[in-house]
Amino acid sequence: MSSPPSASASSSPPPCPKKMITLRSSDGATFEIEETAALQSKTLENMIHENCASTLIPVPNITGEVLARVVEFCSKHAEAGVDDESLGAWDEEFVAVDHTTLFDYIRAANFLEIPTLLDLGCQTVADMIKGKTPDEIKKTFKITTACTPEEEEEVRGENQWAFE
Amino acid sequence: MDALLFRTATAPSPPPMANKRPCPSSSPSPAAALAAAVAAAASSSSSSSSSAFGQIDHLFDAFLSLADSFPSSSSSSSSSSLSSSSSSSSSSSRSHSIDLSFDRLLDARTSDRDQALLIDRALRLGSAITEAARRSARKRAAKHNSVAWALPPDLTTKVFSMLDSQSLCYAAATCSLFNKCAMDPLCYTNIDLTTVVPKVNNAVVSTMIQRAGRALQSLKLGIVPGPTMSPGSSQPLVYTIRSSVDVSNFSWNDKKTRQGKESPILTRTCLSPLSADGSAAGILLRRLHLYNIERMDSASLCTALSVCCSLVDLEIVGLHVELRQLLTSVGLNCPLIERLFFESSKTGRDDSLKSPTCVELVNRCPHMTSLSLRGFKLHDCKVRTLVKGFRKLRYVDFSTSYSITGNFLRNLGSTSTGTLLEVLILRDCMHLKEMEVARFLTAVLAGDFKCLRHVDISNKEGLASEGDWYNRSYTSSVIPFKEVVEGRPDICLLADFPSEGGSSATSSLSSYPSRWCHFGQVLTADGCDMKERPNPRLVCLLPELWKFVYG
Repeated sequence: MSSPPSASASSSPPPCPKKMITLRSSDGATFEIEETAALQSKTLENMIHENCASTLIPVPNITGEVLARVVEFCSKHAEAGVDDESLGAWDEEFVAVDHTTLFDYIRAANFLEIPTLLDLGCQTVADMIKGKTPDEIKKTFKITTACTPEEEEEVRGENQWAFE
Repeated sequence: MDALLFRTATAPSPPPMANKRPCPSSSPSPAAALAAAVAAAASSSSSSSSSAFGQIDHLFDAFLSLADSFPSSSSSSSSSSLSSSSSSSSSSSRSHSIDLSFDRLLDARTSDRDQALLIDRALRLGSAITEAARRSARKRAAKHNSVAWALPPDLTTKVFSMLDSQSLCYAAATCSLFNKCAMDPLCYTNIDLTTVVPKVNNAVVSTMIQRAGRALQSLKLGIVPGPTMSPGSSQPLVYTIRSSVDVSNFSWNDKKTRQGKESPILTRTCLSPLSADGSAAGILLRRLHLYNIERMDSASLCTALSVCCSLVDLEIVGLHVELRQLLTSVGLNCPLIERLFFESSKTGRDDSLKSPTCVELVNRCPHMTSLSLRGFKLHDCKVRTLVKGFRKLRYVDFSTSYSITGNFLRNLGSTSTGTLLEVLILRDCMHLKEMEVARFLTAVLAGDFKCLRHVDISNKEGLASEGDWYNRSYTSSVIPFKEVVEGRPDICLLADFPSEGGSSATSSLSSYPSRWCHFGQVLTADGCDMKERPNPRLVCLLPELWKFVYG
């Protein structure tokens, strides 16, 4: 979902209402985001203040697909006049993805320091773990274990009360 | 040397090397003893491949392929039985069976000592191979997992910090990365070890508190019957462990009870980890909830409270602790306390509260906003001291109290407390007088208690009549229910009494305010009062209320 770079690359403030920042993902795709939305990310905030001359910010750690969604998230959360309930519902839909994608969101949110997205992602993964037995957790996340039976027994023993 | 090599190349099995050199000391690598055979293997392999394999690697490779000749059943334990080849039909036909070969080697050694040496080498080699294989398997699994679970440890810990204590234990048992991340103090900020039946003991509590260290903020412990009830509900949480709960039903891991010294249930010292290590954990603790811990007594609880100077929320249900001692301890040690919820284990029989205790408490704990004392014998004058004295009090619950008549509510409306009070619950107070309730509601109608949102005077036995409290009043022409509902539509008034004649049907007088935005829900005006309302709905209101009052 790439869009042509913003034509109005104003170099100096005063910030006009819809100043756009362009982000470039690791695979070269570019995305436009309003400055107000970009400020949700502490990393971007710092970059914006440092690079006030250019409005193209490279984001090398994040692929285009994930960056597109992150931009969507920030834009939605920067919108004015959205009540908590509908924002909550929107968030719920946003994280209704498979866990691999969720991990991408979490890592992106961590890199860009977006606390709302980071908490949302982590909470969603936590909810996927809640109430599951170790075997179910392994199955859900396709984790293998090479613990010896003795090691596994030891860990279970420490947390015995939870298994009764 | 060449002759020896020649011999090893043609012999069906490697000859014993013991005669070549004196008995080998505990040489680390048994492969060294086979060096001659290695040379043979390398020279005999037709393709001298230019692979990176060294001589030993070739031999090892060939050696490992011997694993395929193992019978499919567990071979390690049945090696002795398989040596008598007739017992296993699958191996009897295999002349390459490891066991048979080993037996032949063993037989070739004449002396006991040589045989013992051979066995020792086999064991050492075997365990070295096992260790190497296990190490590699772990590495492979870790590598696979780092792809499947793509979060670095710090983010994994962050996810785990959002899990409840039980899920955390399950996650820890999943794989070694999870186990490591689950040890992080951040995961133990809110420890919730409440269970339906007793299965947590002091050791579990101690481990978790230690892991939390200075990160500990909230600790919940004890037995809570059924799904955790919201503390705002009127149903008592006191739960006595009857003898019928069979202690022997614990599927307790006996390894943990060191010679029976470790008790399988919580004892009076279960909170001592809070005081350990210079009280690192206790000093920062903000919330402490204890339920139905049979063996806890006043002394041990007060000892624990003595280190909890940051405590904001204290909930004690069903402990054999005296009210006066508890309130004294709270007053002395917890100046920041905002919520106190105390439910007696012996309904109505604890009469220990004294006026000086109340005075001290209100002086020492000015931040109290929520006070619940349920199931105690409370006198109006003492209650009045408390309710008037806490200047920030918003939530009051004296359900199932004995002795209080409601007299303490007189002239309260215009005081600072009266102005701030939002919730008043006096459910099932045996001695609550109809007249006092009427007086109170009249004051409410007159405009007192401006912030009042919720009043509950329901009583299974009705209210006490003026003369003898034994006479009960079920309906009321004295109490201005309807007027309050109409005149103060912002108040939810619950008055659930049994109907006349003691039938099972109840007649409820309740009102729902037309708008109730605090709770994020809008309830339509019901045209109020006199309608039958099923009880569960009434109880459901209170958890919402709880969330509102306590954020």
